[in-house]
Formats: sequence, structure tokens, C-alpha cells
Amino acid sequence: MKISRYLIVRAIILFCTVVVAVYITVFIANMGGHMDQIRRDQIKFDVAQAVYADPGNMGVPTAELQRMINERAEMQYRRLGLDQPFIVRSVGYLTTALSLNLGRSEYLTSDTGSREVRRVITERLMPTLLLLGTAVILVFIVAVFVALALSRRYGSFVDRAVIALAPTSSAPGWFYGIFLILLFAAVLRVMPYGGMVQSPPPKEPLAYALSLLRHLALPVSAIFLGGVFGGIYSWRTFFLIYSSEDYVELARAKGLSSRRIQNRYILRPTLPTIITQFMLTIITLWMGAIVLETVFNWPGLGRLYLTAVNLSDTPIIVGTVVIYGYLLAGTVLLLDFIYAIVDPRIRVGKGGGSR
Amino acid sequence: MTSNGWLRHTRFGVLLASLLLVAGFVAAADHTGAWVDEVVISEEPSEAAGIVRLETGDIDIHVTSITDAELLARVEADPNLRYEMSFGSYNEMSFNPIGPVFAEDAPGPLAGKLNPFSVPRVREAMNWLLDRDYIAGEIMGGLGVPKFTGLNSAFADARERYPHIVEDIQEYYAYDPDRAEAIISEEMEKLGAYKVDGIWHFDGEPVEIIVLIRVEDERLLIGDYVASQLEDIGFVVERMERTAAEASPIWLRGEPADARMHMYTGGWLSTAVSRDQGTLFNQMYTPRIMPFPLFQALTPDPRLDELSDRLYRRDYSSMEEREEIFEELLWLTMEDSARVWLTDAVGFNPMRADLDLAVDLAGGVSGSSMWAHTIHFHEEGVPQVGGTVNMTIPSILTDPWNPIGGSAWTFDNFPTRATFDTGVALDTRDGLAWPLRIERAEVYVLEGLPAEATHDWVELNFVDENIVPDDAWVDWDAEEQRFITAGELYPEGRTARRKSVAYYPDDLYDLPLHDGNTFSLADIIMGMILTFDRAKEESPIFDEAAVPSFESFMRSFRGVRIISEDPLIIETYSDVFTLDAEIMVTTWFPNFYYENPGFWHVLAVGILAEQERSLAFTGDKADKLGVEWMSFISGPSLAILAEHLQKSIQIGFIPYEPTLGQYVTRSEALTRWDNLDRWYRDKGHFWVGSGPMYLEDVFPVEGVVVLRRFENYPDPADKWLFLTEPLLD
Repeated sequence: MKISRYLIVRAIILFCTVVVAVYITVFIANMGGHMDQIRRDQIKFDVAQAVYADPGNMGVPTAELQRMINERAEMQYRRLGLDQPFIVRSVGYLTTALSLNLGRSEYLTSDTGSREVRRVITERLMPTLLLLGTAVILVFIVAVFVALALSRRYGSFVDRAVIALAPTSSAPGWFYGIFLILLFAAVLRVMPYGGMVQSPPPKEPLAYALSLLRHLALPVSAIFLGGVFGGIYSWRTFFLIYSSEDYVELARAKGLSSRRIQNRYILRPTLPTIITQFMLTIITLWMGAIVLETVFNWPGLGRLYLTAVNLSDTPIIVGTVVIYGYLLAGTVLLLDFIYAIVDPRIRVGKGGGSR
Repeated sequence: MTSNGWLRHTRFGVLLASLLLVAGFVAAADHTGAWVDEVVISEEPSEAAGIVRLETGDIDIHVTSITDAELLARVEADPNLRYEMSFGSYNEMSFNPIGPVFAEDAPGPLAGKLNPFSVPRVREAMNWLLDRDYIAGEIMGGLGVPKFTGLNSAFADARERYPHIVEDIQEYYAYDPDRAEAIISEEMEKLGAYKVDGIWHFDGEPVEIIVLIRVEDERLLIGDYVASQLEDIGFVVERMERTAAEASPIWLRGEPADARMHMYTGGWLSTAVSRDQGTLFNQMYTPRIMPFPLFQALTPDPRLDELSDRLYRRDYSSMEEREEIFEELLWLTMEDSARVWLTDAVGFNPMRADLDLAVDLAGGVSGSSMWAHTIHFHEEGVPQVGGTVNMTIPSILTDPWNPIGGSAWTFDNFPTRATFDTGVALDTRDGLAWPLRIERAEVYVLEGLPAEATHDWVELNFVDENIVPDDAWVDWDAEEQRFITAGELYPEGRTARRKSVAYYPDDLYDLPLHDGNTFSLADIIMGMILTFDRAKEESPIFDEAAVPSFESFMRSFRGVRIISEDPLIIETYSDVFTLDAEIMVTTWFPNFYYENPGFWHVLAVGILAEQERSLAFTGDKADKLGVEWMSFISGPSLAILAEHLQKSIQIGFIPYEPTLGQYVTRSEALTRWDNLDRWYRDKGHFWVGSGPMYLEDVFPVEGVVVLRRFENYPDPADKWLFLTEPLLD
């Protein structure tokens, strides 16, 4: 019962956090309603240009032209809901997003031509998962296991060499991406410049998969190079701290094998932290990688998000954010639940709380 | 090798080369339609990456017009690359005309301050103060042409008709900062300003000028240059650098009387060659057209105002009279200088050196209407048959493709243009039309209208009257689904300012469509019906978004009549006239978007879907109904369209049967459906045209479009090669 109540309270708090976050997003994406006026201006400007350029309007009196421009502009305002006050529309954006209906985009269409925000996002989700999923999981696994190994060889040449490379992670993946493209695509001409598959894409599934792998190589390498040494450094430090705990020293004194010490006395107690970190890493995939996807011309969520921001396509911006918000909140709630169950240091109920 | 041996080998080589050349020409002579076998178009948003990919031979052409001088230098330095120039955008400085002193209670930072640019003579002096050669050569790295008047340097009015006027103006207003300073000083003193330590003061304070500068392109540097020139003659200048979104509330929406800026770095765009720029004066120098405060605040000289409106209304009776108006008006606009024109930007369209195609003077490669007819590889100037062209384009598949209200994006229209023909083709070099599907035409305009014919395929006649015949169709009854004749609607009679008669060739009805069908008169009739139907409230596919353009159309449309069905001859009556007879020919040929949206059986599938409210042709209506915007090539639309195709086959559907049924038999309809069904099952889309290429494949997420040569295309491949030859000096 205590856990149920605890989880319900946590869920309510997290939901409220998501609501606030989404509304802030709506507010910022529309510059507090200021964006409405800019869009109205642009619509009217475009309409005026179109009316002016229409040969059928030759010789039409000015007043009539102005009426036509106003009428057409009003039609566009109605279509985009710009005839309503921003505060009303902002609530609409919020409720549509929170219900996960997500609604329709205002400018963008999906690659296959749909205006359903859900479809617009879904179509870009797979390429992003493929690219970032592969790269991030690779970085995570390599970093954790290499760090674990290095923590056992603290001070060795390999350890010092890897640690010396840690500052390379201060540059983002796209930075390495540009060099990789220049080297492997422009100079050596052995790898593609970008895109998801060759052009035109192969129709045979196997050939398609091979082409996909080839196109994944450079962007995955870029993310890997940009993240792996920093990751190793962080995890190594983390493992080293655990390696110097009293109970590990005791295990060593008892003469247990180093593999046993690693698995039972280092990995096991750090597992919740590793899982937490892994889950939080996984959900960050949702936001894509804006610059990297742009550099590699990868049709992912990051580029979609950038385009939506440039066009002020609020439903898509909010749709992306709300799903991220729910995923994050769900993950946090799940972790709270797991911790409450498995971690003896956490107590739930009156007078409880983490210590 | 002996000398004889060398000679033998040389002779053999020459002979072989000659044979290959001749063989190439013979092969080319027999070849129809597109020169190349395939075009693969993929997305590449980065101009720099596009150039790198061209350099390494990864692609053959990057379809965009680039204005980056450094990239141009790279292309020029590479012998394997070439480029074609195109004009399109142009820059100017717009002035705030309020003043001479902004109101004390104005909300902006310039409240109570002096606005020297409210004085036309000060604005005029800016023409001498700004060195356009410097802007074009240094700031724009040579990718600009100095511009003194609103006329585009490359279009007919400035280049062909009135170059002497433009040259006189250029000479008179050539860069002369001393003259500018003298005039500005004179006017400033008249306004009560005075100099203290070389700085202009007014009411005890330095005269501060706010220059609103756009930051996204070359205008950032241009604005800075203008500011520096003003500082040099004693003004204190604030450079207000803003993005489009930030600048818009100030220059576009903001009241000039709010006193927020003195001038703005304006930028404009032409996407097609304009044969008549007489309409720009009303837009740029009077408050008649643009419904925005900065334009509404313009107070042109009455004569400038009158002449601008006369040009806009084409109120002149001869080309001589037009020239007189132009000459007077151009000088008046320089004196007014509500805006000072600076440069016509020039873009370069890069490609591999062994590739050639027709490039539009204004729109570049992406705006070329005849690229697919002309694109070819060549060996030392000799066009080669076959090959695959790999292209990149900044964006693709941005919006859904459908022939009525589909994507209007330039880069989406680029591949679609390859898939359809037009009744007439626009010359990419000067904007004049050539007959493509029609054979010849006649144009009858009222005596006294200033029209001329350049090419001999069109016969221009001047008449006292163009009477619309009683049996001409003038409107559409959407309820009864029949045309309304002039006799019914205008029993008192109706006239038109011009009549065009389009003559089609005898073999028109043998024209093959991509899906295996052949052309029929019903395709023309369908286009005529759709011209009216979607804007009629009684129509099952009524779309309020179609009403405004329909109203504009009806304002000048006077009637259409099919004089002969075979060979097909169509006469069209209208009050719209242009200076060129070639542009006045209305053909009604199905070509997506322009005159007639497509072939009746393909459209019928979409019409059924919209009637049942499962899809909509336009984005506006799709939003209103909450359904998908119809796409003929991908996405959820396809399954719905396929369902309606099967329904059409089952019921032998003929849309608008009371009218279209007179031109299509049930068996003809079934043949069309069967072929379309086969096409859909084979290609997986409904994009059917009659152009030199067909849509082979679409990969929406990957952003790739594949076009293939249409083997049954009837016209010889070399028919349009002349468009690749330069026309400009």
C-alpha cells in the first residue's frame, strides 16, 4: 500500500512536471504568442505577392485587390487557427499533446505526405533509432567494459593512454563526422558522403541492409569517437571508487579471484546506477542528433525537429517534446519503483525517504 | 614505330573517331524523348557538400543556384566542372518616408528625431553615395550585377526594349560620393541640421540613423557598407542586425511612424523570366498593391503615381507609347527613390563538365521547364545518348504530389516537370513560348493594343472586335454537370480583348501516356471542367481555397470553344493580354498545374476519394476535413486511391458523366482503368504523365526519386537542344 501510494504521488508529480514542461515548450515555440503576428505578416505578404502576380487581376481596382488579399489571408489564418487568441490555441496545443493525439502539423508533412504528427514523427523515428541506437549502445557497452577492465589495470600504459584520450570527447560527434567525411568520402572515396542508403536504394532486402550498414559506418564512428573515451573515463573513475570500498578490499584480502571480485563486489552493487544511466541514455535517443543528422544528411528526428523549429511548426515541436517528457517521466517512475523494491537503502512511507 | 606505322595508326584513329562521331549523330537522330536513360535525384541540403560531391564525381549536377563566391572559385578552378548562371534575387534599400521629424509621442527610439530620408532628394542622393560596383564585385564576390532601376538586368524590358534608358540612368547616377554629400548637406541644412566636429546635429543632438539589416545573407555586409558610407558623411549610425522573424515586425508590420528605423535592407525574388515588368512600379512606388504600413506610407509624385498605374493596367496603345511611359517613369522613380536598387544577384548552377541542359535565366536549373527534354552527356560538344544522371537537390518530397493542389515547392516541381508535357514550352532564355504539343496558333487582339509576335508559329492579328460566339462555354453548372454557354448567360452578347486559337497536330490522339493509354479529347474537357467545378459550392469537391484564384480567372475569362475535334482546334477568349503573342496562346493541354491538371482517368480516382471525404487535393481542405492531403506517389493516400481505382473499375466510373460521357465510351473508360491498374501494380504510384520521363520509383524516407526515359515519347531528342545555346550576349 505504501509503495502504491508513493508511486501514485510520484506519478502525479511527474505528470504535473510534464504538463509544465510542455506548456513552456508551447510558449517558447510561439514566442509567447508573438510568433502569431509574424506568421500573419508572412501569410499576408505571400498572399499579396500572389494576388499581384496573377495576370487575371490585371486592371482590378486597388480596393478590390485589397479585399482579395484580406480575404485570402483570413482564409489562411482560419486554417492555421491564427484567428483565435494565442492563449486559447496554447491550451489546445497542450491538451492535444498530453492526450497523445498529437494532432496535425501546421506546415510540415511526413516524408510520405501525411500531416498527422504521429506519422510525421514515426517515419523519422526508425532512422534515428537505427543510427543513435547503434552508436549509443555501442559507446555505452564499450565504455563500461573497457572502463571495468582499466579499473583493474589502474596506472598501466593502456590505462594512461586511454585516459589521455578522454579530452577528445569534448568535441561532439558531428565534429569528427566532418573529418571522417572528408577523409573517407572526399579523399579516399571509399565511403558515402551521407544519406541512409545508396541512391537509388536497392530493392533486394539484403542489398538494402548492406547499403544501410555502409552508410551507418561513418556517422556511428563519429558518435563513437566523440563519446567513447569520455565515457570510459567516467565509468573508470566510477568503478575505481567502488573498487576501493572496504568490502572489496576485504574480498581481495580473502584471496578471491579478480573476476569474482569484479562480478560480485563491483558490478553487482553498481548495477542500479548502470541500469539508470543506460535507460536515461536510451530515452535521449528520442530527440535525435540535430547537427550530426544534418552533417550526414540522415533523415532522423533531429533534422525533423530542426526543420519544425525553423518553421515554428508547433504541433511537431510539442509532439516531440511531449513524447520525450512521457518517456522520461515513465523511466523515472519505473526507476523509483525498482529502487523502492530492490534497494534496501530506500524506505517508503511516513518518515521514510532516501537516506 | 616507323613513320608509316604512326601514320597508319593515326589515320585509323581519325577514321574510328569519325565513325564514332557519325554513329553518335545517327543514334541521336533516331532517339526520341530524353537523351539519358535514367535520372536519380537525391537530397543534399548543403551547397558545399554538393560541390565536393561534384568534384569527386559522386554526382553529375547539384540542382540549385548558389551565390557563394568561394564555391564559385572552386568550380572555376576544376576543369571537370562547369556552371550556368541565372538571375533571380535582387537587393535594395527601402526608406522610411515619415518625417522630416518623427512624432514626439512615437513609441520607437527615434521619436522626435530627424528623418532625412523623408526628403526625396536625400533618398535620390543615396544613389550617388553607394558604389554598386563595390557591392557587386567585392561584397558579392562578382555574383551580382549593379542595379539602378527596378528592372531586372536580364529580362526583356532592360535587356531588349529599353537598354538605352537604363544606360542613361546608370551614367547619370554613377557613384559620386562628393555629389551625394553636397546634396545631402544642402538638404540637411534646409531641415535645420548642422555639423559639429564633422557630425550632423539636430536640436542639439547628433543625427542618428538606424539601419535595419538582415543577417541571413549578403545583406549583412551590404547593410554594413551602407552604414559606413553614411558615417563617412557625418551621420551616427546604429546597425540593427536582425533575422527575418525579428525584422518583420519592424519593417513589414510596423508602422513607419512608430520611428523604429530609417531604412531596411530589402531583398526580392523572381522565379521565372518576366516578359513585362511594367507592373512593378505600382507595387514598389505606390501604396496600391502592398497592404503593409511601409508601402501604405508612400506618397509618390502624382505623375509617378499616374504612370505606374497606367503601366499596371497596360493602359497604352502602342509599344512606342509604352516606351515613353517607361522612360519618364524610370527617371521619376530615381528622383523619388522610395527604394534604392543595388544589385541583381547572380547565382551559379554547378555541374560536371560533360553534362548540359537548358537552364532558366531566372530560375536556374531547378526552375527550368525544359531540363528533362534537354539534359544529356556530351563528348566534346557532341550529345551522347544514354547514361544515368545522378543529381542532388537541396530538398525533395517536401509536400504531397497531386496534380490539383499538390506540392508547390520549386524542388518538388523540378522532377514533376520531367513527367509532363505542355501545350507550349517556355524558352528558358527569354521566356517566350514555343509550340510543344500544339502545332501552331493564331492570336487576335483588339486594334490599339500593343502586342507583337516574335516567332512565326503564331500569327498575330489586330481586329476591331472579338465577339464571343453563343456556343462558347463560359461557365459550369456544377449541379447539372454541364457547361453554360455564352448564349445562355450573355444573350446580349459578349466580347473579349483577345482570342487565341490553338491548332493541334493530326496525330494528337496517338500520343502515348506513361500508363499505356493514349491521349483523348476527354483529357482536355476534364481540365476545362475542373477549371470551374472545384470553386462551385454545389460541387461534391468544392474547395473554398479554389475560390479566390477562380474569381481572378473569371474576371478576365470570356469563353472557350472547340472548333474542331479532329484535328483539335480550340479557341479561347480572354481579357488578359500580354505584350507577346506567344504568351497569349491558351492550349488547355493537360500538364499538371499550369492550364489543366492532368488526364481524366487519373484525376477521377482522386475526385472519388475527395467526394467521399477520405482524401483532399489541397492542404487547406485536408486540414478542414481532418483527412490526409492527397499524395499520388506515397504514403497512406495510395491505399485509399487504390481502393477507389477498384471501385472505378467495378462501376466503369466516368466523372461528370453528363458532359464527359459525351467524350468517353464505357469501353474506353475500362481500358483506361485497366492500364492505370496495371501501372499502379507495376510502379506503386498514380503519377501518370506524358512527358519525356516517367516516375519509376519514390523512396520518401530516404529522399530519393528515380525518373526513367519514356521510350514511347514521340518527339526527337534533339528537338529542344537549341535551348542549351546561349541567347544572352
